[in-house]
Amino acid sequence: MDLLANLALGASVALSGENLLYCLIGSLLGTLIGVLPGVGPVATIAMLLPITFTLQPIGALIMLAGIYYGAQYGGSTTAILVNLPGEASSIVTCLDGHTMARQGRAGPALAIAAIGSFVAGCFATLVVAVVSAPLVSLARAFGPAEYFALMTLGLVLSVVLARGSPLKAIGMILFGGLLSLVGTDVHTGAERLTFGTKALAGGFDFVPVAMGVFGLSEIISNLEKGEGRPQERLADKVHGLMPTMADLKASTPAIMRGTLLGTVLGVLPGASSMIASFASYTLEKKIAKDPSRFGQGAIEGVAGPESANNAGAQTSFIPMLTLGIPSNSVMALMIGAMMIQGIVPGPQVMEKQPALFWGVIVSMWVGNAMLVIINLPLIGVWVRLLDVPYRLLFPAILLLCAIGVYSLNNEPSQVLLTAAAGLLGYFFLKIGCEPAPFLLGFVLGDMMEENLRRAMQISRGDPIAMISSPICAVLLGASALLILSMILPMIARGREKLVED
Amino acid sequence: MVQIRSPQDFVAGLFFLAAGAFALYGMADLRMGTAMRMGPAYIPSLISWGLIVTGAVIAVRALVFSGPRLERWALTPLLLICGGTAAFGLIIPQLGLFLASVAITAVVSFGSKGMPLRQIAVLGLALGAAAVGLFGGLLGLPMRLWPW
Repeated sequence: MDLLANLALGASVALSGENLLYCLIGSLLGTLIGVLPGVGPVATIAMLLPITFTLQPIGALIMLAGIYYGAQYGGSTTAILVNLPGEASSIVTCLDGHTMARQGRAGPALAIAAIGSFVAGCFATLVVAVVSAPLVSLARAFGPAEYFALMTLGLVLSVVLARGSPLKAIGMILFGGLLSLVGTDVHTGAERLTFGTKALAGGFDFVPVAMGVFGLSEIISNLEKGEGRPQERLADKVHGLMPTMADLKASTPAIMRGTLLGTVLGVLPGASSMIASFASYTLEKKIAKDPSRFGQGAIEGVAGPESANNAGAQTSFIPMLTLGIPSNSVMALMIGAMMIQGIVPGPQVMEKQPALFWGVIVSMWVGNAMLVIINLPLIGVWVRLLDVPYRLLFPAILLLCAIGVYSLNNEPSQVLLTAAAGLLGYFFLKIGCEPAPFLLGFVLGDMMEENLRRAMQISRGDPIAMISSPICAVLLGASALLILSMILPMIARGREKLVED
Repeated sequence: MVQIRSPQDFVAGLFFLAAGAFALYGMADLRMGTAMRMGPAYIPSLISWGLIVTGAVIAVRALVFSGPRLERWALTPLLLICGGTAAFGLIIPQLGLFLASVAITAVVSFGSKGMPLRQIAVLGLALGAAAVGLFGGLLGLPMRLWPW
């Protein structure tokens, strides 16, 4: 069995003393930062990126993966205890998780979230291991046209699944794509939209833009909402962690469903773990015997989304590891981190660096196990952190952001860009535009241009030839169908609304 | 009479429209090339036109369908957070991590009302020391720590 041999190789890497330590440090630090209100996984990873610079590539990636799970786990802790979602995927956890906490059942809510995440993590890791090898061989048949078509499908999916207006999501993707093309054009050497400034010749980097749009604007909006702190101290209400038998019985099927849903949704490029948790919550509510319990502290409403969220986080590694395509902002950061370590992501990683590839996959499981074994008993410590007033906390958060950005290449202009991106992110908030599609467009924009250019060169400028490849035809056909399925009801609705007015 | 029924969407539409138009203007002297040999302006121009069309549709729809109003901007935190971050970037190359950390803390702390000056000073010094100890000492990141 190839799979077993590969997993054994991965285990030998991931279970070495050194890498276990990195995994532990990563998940602890990730939780530590992720618990802070208003700090999601993207900001956490970007902040902690500098601590991995001095490590070997394998250790660095294992630590980053640990930071990612830790951050997500920390985010749900904050969501349950103080009703402040660190990122969009924890919003649904707030609904029932925080209600449970107010009913004095914070312990079981936290425990179920951790158990659900662990079960989901185990299953999803296995899926990643099983699916990766065949996908890599499929990826060998991928030319530039196929890559372009796949990324198109990813962008279309992110529009279809986006909350709020699809038109605005399209606008945000296009704007992100445009920004990603600023700088020197690699094919011709021409400077695009730099307006003669030297600082822009290299284009905009991902970390400062993501940090500003996600991190800074979040802090500003927290400050705007007043102190942004809860009045009640729920920290003292975490008594027992143990869920009752009834809790377990109610949660088990929800965990299973959430895991499956998240595993599938996580693979889709453009669908983030946020969509997985939203979908799971909707599903649980729909099939529940008594849907009115949801929002009143139904434990399935915590178990399902938390499992889906974590499974999705895990399987979103699949497109990144096998194709080198980031399906969300976190994976874009991972790709950035790999590049810093001198690894070019793509199908060749599995062949050329099997130890790294399988080591990272096995470490996903290790990281999840660590979160349950170590973090669960430490909940009391994380909770203390939440008692620190926000006015003392946010300067520290901001300082970490600034150091993280500056340490990338000791370039002051990057920090200035972060400040500007913070302003932009706040503007997006005020005009009701989701930042996620913007970042996806920003991440995929230059990759798509590169692939489209090469594809058109190969086909001698004939766009029809692109569809002649069956993979391309399927991917682009699916994209077109999705767009139609979205636009047609929109037009119909528009007519109705006009008639009403 | 034309009436803006969805101010948020209207501004968003105008923003996309303006961004596309501005990009087209900025790329006016770049080569388009052909579909087979795309010049530097080919794809960015396509995207810009996409932005213009999307923005126009959003703006026009905002005249027809009603939607959320524009909220006020919280200018103080906005300026302090972005300004503090910018100050950090400007200070660190010359004066080092410690003073840059103190500066960013001091600037942004003015944003939270009722924070006494002494508390700001203590917080700034503590964060500065922690940053130098952690990133300079423990992790050994190659950056200037002190002004000298």
